[in-house]
Amino acid sequence: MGEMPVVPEPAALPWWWALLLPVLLGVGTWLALVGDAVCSGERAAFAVPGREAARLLVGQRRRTVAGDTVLGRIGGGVLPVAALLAAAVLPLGERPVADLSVGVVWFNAMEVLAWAAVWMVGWGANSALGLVGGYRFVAQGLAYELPHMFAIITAALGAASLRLTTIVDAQQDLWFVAIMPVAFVVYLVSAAAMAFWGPFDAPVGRDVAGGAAVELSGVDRLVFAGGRWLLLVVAAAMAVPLFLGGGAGPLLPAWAWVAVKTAAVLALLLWLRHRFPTVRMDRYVEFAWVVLIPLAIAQALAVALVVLGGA
Amino acid sequence: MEVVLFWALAAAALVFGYLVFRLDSMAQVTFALLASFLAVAGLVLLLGLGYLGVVIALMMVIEMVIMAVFMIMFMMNPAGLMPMTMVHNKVGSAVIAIGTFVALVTGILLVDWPAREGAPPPDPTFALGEALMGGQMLTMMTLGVGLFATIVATVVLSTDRGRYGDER
Amino acid sequence: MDLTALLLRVAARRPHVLVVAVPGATAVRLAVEAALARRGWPIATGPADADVLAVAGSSGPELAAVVDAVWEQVPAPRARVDLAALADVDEHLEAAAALLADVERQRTEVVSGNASHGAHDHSRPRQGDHAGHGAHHQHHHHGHGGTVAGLPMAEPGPDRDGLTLDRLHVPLGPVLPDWPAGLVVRVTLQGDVVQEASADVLDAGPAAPFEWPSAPARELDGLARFLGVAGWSSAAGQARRLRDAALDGDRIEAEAAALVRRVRRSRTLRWLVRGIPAGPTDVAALLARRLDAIEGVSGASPELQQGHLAAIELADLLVGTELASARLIVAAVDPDTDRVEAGHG
Repeated sequence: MGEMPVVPEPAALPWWWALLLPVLLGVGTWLALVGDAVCSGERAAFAVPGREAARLLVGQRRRTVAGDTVLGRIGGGVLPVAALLAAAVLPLGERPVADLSVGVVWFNAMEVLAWAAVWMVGWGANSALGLVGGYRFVAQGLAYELPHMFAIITAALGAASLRLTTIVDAQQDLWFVAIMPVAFVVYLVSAAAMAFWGPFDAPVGRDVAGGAAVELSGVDRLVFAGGRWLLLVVAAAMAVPLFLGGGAGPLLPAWAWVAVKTAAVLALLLWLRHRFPTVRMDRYVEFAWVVLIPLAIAQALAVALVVLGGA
Repeated sequence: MEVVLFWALAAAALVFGYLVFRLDSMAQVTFALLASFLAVAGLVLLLGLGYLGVVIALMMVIEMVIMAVFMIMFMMNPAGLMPMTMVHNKVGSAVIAIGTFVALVTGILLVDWPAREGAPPPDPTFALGEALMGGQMLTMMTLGVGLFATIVATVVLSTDRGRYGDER
Repeated sequence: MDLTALLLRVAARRPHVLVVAVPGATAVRLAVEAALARRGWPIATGPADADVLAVAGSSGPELAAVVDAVWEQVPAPRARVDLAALADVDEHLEAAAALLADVERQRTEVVSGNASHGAHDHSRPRQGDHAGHGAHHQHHHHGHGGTVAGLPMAEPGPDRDGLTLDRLHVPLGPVLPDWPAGLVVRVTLQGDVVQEASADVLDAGPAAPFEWPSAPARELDGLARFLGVAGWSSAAGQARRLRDAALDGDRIEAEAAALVRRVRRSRTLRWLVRGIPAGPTDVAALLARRLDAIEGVSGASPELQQGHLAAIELADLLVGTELASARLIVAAVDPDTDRVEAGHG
């Protein structure tokens, strides 16, 4: 393998889409919130996100004695920013806002900022339960990160490129979910874990009275919760170019297919919360390291053999 | 534009590096160090090394979060509620640190850098991979998987005994 | 109409309610929870998350002190509801919602109630956690550590591995979600592992302990708390709905059997609660016994649920467990704090 691959021209959307992206993600998050309210059997589900947002906007912020407000506020702010930055490489239809040649690694780097963010929020409250929540997320991060990295690298391996548009183009004949199903499942599990959602919500669990978010109220809580939801939506949306063929599909335009597929993945992730109890890390870590990682490596090996055999 | 960005990132790296020694709280110190590393990652990105820059950012975030866990565990005064002072050899370490920095800057500014010949490859990531692993791909993969299997085996052997010895 | 008033009115239709359960006033607590479920108002996880503080029952002196401390930590807009009797639960909740939407009243709440939060020199030393400011503000054992910001510093102590780690004194309860009424478990944590524990019931010895009209309702109540602690909110919600239906007198056999099947079939739950000992039994066995009791298979309630026994022995069960396991043990044992005799702990 001595010759360089052909480097495609970066195909990004016009610059002003960078301003539109938060709005689009906000709409997506809103719909996801409504969907979750419907799943939970709430009354007047459509109004629930609005009422929660109003409650938090008008709520008073709190400060605890000797809390580390610098780190706490920075952590809360970093969470939505990390989600938005990670979404910059997401193809909205056919082109992303930023078509980076290392898009997959960029997404990975931006979502690990959540580790720092949640730990800082848990630390900033000077509360025992908050600290427990922050540390639970660090343990969770260590468990989900390696399988996650192997899963997304397997997708990049299948397309022989780290650029997301190239990965989408490589799925013209067959979606990667058919070639690498294990990587897809591992990615879905890690998407729930990275947004501490559903079975992986121990960092903000009820048994520690809200965990990392125990002393948050008002705008602080809104930013933190909003960041968490944005991260979930972005992680679900990233499954589409990586494994589900991006905007490919008959009849509808590319952006419509992206929306439909993202909604399907989100629905699956929302369902997970209702189906499973909270998974504690003292049980899960062993499973992640001893079962998931070897499976992910084996999957990567299988895909590598296919790619080498085809080349 | 790039020059402005360069100086801004360089200043940020230095300021946050200095803050590592001035802040009282060990948690804040860890994240100041992270900010300094992220500024360095930005500088690497400015050099056109996309993959390296992003990987530096990725690795440093994970490492600094893990380091925060250890800083809180081992250091006195992790929350900075009491003023922190360096007790041992404050003057000596400052002299060595600043002296090294001045020496390196002098060297960088006075060295006769050669003129650039040729252009960077169209896909620097591919070129990097080839240069690092080249004809040893199979060896690298085997060694990597071997190292990994050792780590996993260590985890299995240690967790099998439970958190406090043979309690399972 | 200004923005604040509009937002208050929108938000007041779905406030988060923090329910403080009083030992002996189980009937009021059940009525409150049923009323909240009817209105679709969620139960708050703590004072920071709460808009309405609902005290279900008339609290004794110790619990009243705790409730006042918690009330100070609830941020504006807020409303407090003290429900002594069963009769006016709905009216009181409506009044609370109206209070939340009242801009003028809420503005005074911000100025007077939470002014102390802005200042760092609060007179009463308080750890940042709200989890049960019992009647104690001093820490037993280690009084000689320095104080910083009015709070004593954590003292190191030996750990079971021979290390010396900081010990944190954390009172768990009485105002925690899915927690027995009035129970306070004072734990000494090293990391998140419980090193010492002592349990107490605030204002123990109520006049007339609550008699459950149906045994499945009592077991469903306990199961709902256990599933809440285990993080399975949809199953916990289903258990609560069935409990309310059973208390209303509806026949719930089929749906209860469906819930029991759902919980039994969950291999994830089995994997998660496996291997957590709770005295002579373990959490999995206690859960199985509770599921059997819901189906009506076994009539007698387990020994560990006798009131005064649980308060003493509970603390012993928790030593050496980590915080999540400790909460599971408390939820599985589910002591009946209505039946604790006064003077224990």
